[in-house]
Amino acid sequence: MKTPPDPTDPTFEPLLNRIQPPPTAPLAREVWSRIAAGGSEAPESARPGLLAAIEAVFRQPAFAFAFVVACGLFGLLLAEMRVSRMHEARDVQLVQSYMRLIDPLLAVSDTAARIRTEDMP
Amino acid sequence: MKRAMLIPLTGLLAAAMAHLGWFEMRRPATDEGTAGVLAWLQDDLHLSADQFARIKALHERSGPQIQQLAEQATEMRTELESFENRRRNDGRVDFLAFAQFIEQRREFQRICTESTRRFLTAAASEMTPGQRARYLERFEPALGLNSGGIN
Repeated sequence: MKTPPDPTDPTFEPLLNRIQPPPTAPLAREVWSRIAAGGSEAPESARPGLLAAIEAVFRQPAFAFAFVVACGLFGLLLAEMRVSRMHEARDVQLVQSYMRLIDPLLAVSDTAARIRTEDMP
Repeated sequence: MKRAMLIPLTGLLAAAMAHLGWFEMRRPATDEGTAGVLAWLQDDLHLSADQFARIKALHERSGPQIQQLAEQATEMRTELESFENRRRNDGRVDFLAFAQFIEQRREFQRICTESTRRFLTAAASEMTPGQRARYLERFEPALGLNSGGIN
């Protein structure tokens, strides 16, 4: 794609003035306005090829449906992994809690904490 | 362009909804009080309602004695700390008293370990062989870990 000339380029204005006959003021203004408009709005055909390809793929209903379903399944997978990790950590905690229920030597720290709290004025 | 953006956004929304829904449905309960621990044990070992009632009753019967032993263990820990403080501050150690204390502590730890072992055996006797194996596999090794005691 041809890039439009930079309006701030100091060599452009003399080149424009060398056109015979010299451009009239409205023509020069129009040239500049077209240059400015050309910089901000690229035609449809000038879009990058990858983006256009992605858009085309997403326009296919079958692909769109499969994509949404895959996203849902991915969300489920992540949730299951998270729940599984939580269950493992909770099992470890509950084993320790159960041991504190039945083993006086492990219950010591709880009792000590309670007694210290009761001793406080 | 709008449609191309809409599909990924819908996918993102579907992922978030599936994630939150599944997580809320399967998230573990957070009650870690005695009732919560026993409920977990019932679930983990697949105890029947009858077994659960008997094991719960066993816990309720043993609770006060275990609590009493725990309080004694706390007193012993305090006593050990006072020996250590005296040694640090005065630079003196009453070796005879300390030796007696160590002997008492050893005996106390033996009583505690025996109490826990008796409890585990009583609870295990209410279970099927499969449940018993799992129960002892989970909790019996902890008896060995605690032999270090009250410090």
